[in-house]
Amino acid sequence: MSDDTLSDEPVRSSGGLAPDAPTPTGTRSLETTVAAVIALASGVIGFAWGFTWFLVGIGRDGSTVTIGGATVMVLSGWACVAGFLLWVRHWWAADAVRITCAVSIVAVIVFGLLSANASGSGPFPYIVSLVLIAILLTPIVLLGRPGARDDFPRMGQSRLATTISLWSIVAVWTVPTLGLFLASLREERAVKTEGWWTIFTNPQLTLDNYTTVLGTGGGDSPDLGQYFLNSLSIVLPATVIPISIALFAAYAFAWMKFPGRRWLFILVVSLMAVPLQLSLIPLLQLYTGGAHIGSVTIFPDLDLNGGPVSVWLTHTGFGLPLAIFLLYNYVSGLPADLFEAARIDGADHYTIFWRLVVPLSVPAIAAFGIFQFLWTWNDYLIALTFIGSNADAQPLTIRLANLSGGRGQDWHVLTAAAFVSMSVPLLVFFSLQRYFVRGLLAGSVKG
Amino acid sequence: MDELIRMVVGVVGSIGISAAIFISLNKVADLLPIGARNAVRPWIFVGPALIFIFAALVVPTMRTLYLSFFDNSGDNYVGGENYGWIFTNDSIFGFDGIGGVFTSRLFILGIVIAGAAGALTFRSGRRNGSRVDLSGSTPLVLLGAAATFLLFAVFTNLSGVIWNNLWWVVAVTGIATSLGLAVAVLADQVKGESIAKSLIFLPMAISFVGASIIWRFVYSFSPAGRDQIGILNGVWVGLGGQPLAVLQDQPWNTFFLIVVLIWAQTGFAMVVLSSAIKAVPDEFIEAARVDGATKQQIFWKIILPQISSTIVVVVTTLIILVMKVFDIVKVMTNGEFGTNVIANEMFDQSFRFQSFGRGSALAVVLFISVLPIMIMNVRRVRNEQDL
Repeated sequence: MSDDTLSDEPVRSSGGLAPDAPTPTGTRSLETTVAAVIALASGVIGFAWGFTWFLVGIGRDGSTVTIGGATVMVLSGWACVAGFLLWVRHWWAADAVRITCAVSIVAVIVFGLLSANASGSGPFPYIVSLVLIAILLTPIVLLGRPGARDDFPRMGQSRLATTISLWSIVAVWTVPTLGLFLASLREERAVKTEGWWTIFTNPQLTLDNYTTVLGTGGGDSPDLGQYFLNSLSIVLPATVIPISIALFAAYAFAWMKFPGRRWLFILVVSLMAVPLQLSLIPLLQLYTGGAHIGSVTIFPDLDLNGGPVSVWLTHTGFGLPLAIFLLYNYVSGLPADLFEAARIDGADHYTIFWRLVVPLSVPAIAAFGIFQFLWTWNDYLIALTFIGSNADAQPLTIRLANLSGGRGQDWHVLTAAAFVSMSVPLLVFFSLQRYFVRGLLAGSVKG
Repeated sequence: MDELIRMVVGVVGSIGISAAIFISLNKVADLLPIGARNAVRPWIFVGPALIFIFAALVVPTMRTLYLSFFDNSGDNYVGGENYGWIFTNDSIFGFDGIGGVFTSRLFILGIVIAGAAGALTFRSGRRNGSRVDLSGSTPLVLLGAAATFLLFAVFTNLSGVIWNNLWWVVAVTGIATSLGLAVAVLADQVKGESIAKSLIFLPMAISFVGASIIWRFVYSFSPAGRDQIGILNGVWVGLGGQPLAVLQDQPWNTFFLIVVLIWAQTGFAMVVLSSAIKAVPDEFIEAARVDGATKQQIFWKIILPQISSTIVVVVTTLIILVMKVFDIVKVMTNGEFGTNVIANEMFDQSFRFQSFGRGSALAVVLFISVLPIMIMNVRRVRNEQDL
């Protein structure tokens, strides 16, 4: 179990780029020359094409055409620069060209496929895409050949590509959440009629949406404060109960001898992967009608359905296998000498458990606790099945889903409501990330 | 205040009750003669957990199996009728579009790329003296792309709940694992690693319901001529396209739902794989570098084989998770527009139409599809724990 996987570790493969890398002497290889010519030629042709397009756009007052033309001009301009840098064998030119070509190929595939699918105009878009891909592949292949490698001895050592790809993925991953957050801070009219990105040209922020969703108004008021408490009253017991039960079991599996120990533990491990859908119908029947064999009642009809108790019990049952597995891994790793010494001093299992195991297991308990906390806070299926439409016990997730279904275009309400429901998990995530990661690494087999 | 009282009663009560039962049982055990005491004590420790596990998982699983052979009231035995309904129902497991698979452009593209990859591996294999050479990024990336195109050709042409589910499993597992691996490798080499990883990992903390709202906003659609409020259509229209009704246009709407889960789960794959990569001994990498291996060779020939068992863990965990995907479909489309999946169909059959027989049969289908993975998990844990 790695302790701290999200921290900055020393950068392992240091590229070691000297800015004053020497320009290679000797003649330029054929590969480099051809690649440079291709870049220059496509740059010039593209620039002319884009410029024409641009002029047509201005003449027609079509802004998309103008923007398209301008984009082509910028890209072609870059191709010219890259071709020139290749020609003079600037030390990072090869890397820059290969990255540009690779990115462009991805763009061609994505946009080529999308537009071909959208237009349905026969094979033409595919042929254009394939030709473009072939043109873009040529410099990549050429610059990978031995001749070009001699021209650019430091090729492949630039961290530029790595940095660009990493941060573009990060950007794509962050923009959806960020957009929702920014939208939630705008007034109703702006949220509903403009893209959230116009916030940068029209920065008017308000907390009105948050007061709306938290306020206790009339009939269809979101009233999230109430549901927030409902969520808490489900989550805390559903986290604490499995931990207390599982720790006993984990200790027994690790340090006590009893018949069937091995098989019972294997059963627990295998149950981690059971889809919980398998239990929904029988548990619902159990909570509404009890369980009977013949006329003998095993579990009385307590009419638990619609209340939080049924959800506590269900989360406990579903959380236990993972809890036992995680805590077992930890408890069984405690040093045997410790238990030996305690036993020599006359301590029995009961004392050892309370005096040694409980205090020593706090890190593992924290790891599983956060896991179970987030899991139950974010749960929708179990609450929907067992609480259903009882508004007095529904957690935030059900409320949010209902708002999304019933008031799907009220984005000023939905954005703020989503953030209210995400606030607690995000807080837990940022403050206790290290424990969360630990739990994740230790038990990545939960069903 | 009702909820607060309920919460406190829940926490204190449950701890109190379990502690009281546990302590009194131990006191009772202390009264027994020493031999019996030692035999009984372990069962006091594991008993409560086993009771819960049997009541919530083992017995219900068997009961669901049993119910799946009965009609919707649960009283009359109907044999395999519920399973017959699943596999002969066109909206669940249809073969109508099978002809379209082989004529689709995706399929043709996939074949072309696979051919190119094959040619490349044979060529480099001849050069290295072996028959085929699968190492290196180009053939593997090409083969991956070809497989993706071929599978997508199947899933975009065949409609039905089970096909959708398979599409989810293939796409989420494949894309989230490879992206997670890519991010783990990339982040290992640059500054700002922890910030980048935290941001990719962040969606793990967000509920699927919350994620669905986030992405419904990304996908939101206004008719042409009006300002778009969703970023996807904002960019698309900005580039000159017609606004897309992303969540309604079949068959690609399913893929746009799949993207949500990929977004949520890539962080998981990244964290687990990243810790595995960091556990690869530095000496291996140093030795390879001294021998003149390039960065690519180090990745494909040293790091990848070292972390292969972790990749298996990530893939199996994701398959189990994706198989029973429910929240995203329920919230974003409610299974409309041909986006339904097994878990949502199971929920509708069981709790909307009260067809417990059909619902149980669908749950059993889910169970059988993760059964091989359960067995693999048990084997792995048994080897690791030396049981």
